[in-house]
Amino acid sequence: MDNTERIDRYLNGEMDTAEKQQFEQELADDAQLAKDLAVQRDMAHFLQHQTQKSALQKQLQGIGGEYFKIQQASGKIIPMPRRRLIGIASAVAAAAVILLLLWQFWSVPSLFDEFAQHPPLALSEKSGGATNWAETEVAFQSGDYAKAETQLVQYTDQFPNDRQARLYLGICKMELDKSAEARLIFQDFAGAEASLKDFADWYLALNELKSGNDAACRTALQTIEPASSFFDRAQLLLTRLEWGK
Amino acid sequence: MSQHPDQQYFDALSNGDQRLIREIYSKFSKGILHWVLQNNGEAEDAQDLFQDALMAIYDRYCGRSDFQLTSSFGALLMTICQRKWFDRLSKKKREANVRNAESARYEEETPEWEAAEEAILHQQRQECLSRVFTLLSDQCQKLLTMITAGELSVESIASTLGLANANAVYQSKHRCTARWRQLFHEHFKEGSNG
Repeated sequence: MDNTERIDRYLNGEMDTAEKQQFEQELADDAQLAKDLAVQRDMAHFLQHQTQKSALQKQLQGIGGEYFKIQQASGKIIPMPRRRLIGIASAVAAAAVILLLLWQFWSVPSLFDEFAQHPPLALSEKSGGATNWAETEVAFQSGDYAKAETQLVQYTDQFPNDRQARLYLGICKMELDKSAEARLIFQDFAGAEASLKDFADWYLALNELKSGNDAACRTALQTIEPASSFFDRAQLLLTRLEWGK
Repeated sequence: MSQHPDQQYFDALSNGDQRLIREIYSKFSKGILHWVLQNNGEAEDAQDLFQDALMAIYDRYCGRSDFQLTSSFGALLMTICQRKWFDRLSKKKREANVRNAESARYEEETPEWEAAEEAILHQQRQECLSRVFTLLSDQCQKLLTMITAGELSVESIASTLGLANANAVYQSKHRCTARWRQLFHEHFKEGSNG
């Protein structure tokens, strides 16, 4: 008998005490059942964390580049100059330090880049007419916002009820520096259901940040309420704006 | 029971806390870089290893309650990096070049070593699950993702995916889960990253 459903119920805490006890007894006696439980627990973990995990990976890539490249560059300056070349080597080292400092300055990601980590686009329709919408997802994920924007305009015309797609159209416009158009899209979610509104409010703030309107960004962040899943991020961004970029 | 002082670093990986993640890099990257450079690696290897080890810690500890933190974050991170570096070198048949730390591999197992092994095993399981997830039908992938996201009602999921009713959604879910689990058992080999 396949135990998928029972394992599911056990993991979701849906068994009563007697059933749970019996299941745990079976687990102790049946190695295959215990293995299946472990896998199903890992599957749940995978599904619950895949978005968060890919965001973390992206975040680490950004930060890691700063630390290890700086250290690598520093390492290249350290080797001992020969005595006769001390003067030249010192000048070269000084120039390298200046270049390194400038490089560090240039390479530090902007506050916008730090906070603008978009969840992957997942369109509810994958095909329709001549366009393969899976390509739109790829374009968005790979940062080709111009292509994603063009296709999302067509998509939202064809599927006007897919409100989430419209939010992603707003993100494309924001990334393409069409801040006025992006603002209009995000503001359009003022009366939407909470999950979409929270998403739009956060991007409204990011849009202002990207266009350099820090005051408007602060105002937008202050409207994000504690119930929003973006509240912690909003508070952190407010603090960072207080420190100055 | 009081919390381990390094718990903050595990939490930082869970919630993407930029300030604390930077602190992790700032405190521990130099040690790892130094060790990798001493053991026939480049700075790029160290960066890659460091990130990979952080992801292993994420897979093992984040969002899970079935563990008791016994070692420091730094010791665990270093041990995972060492363990992974040994594996990479042995795959490239360059063990002979590991100079300083080779003997440590055969030293009696420390709590950090056991925790590192466990974290790497969890990461390998997650990587395998991710790979075989893509072998499921598009419908299965969508269904499992939608149910887990919890943003849509079961009725909405049924209508989005063209299923008759909520009951059909649950039946499909169990079928997809069983298939995914079967694929995992067929593909997972402990100790292999590939």
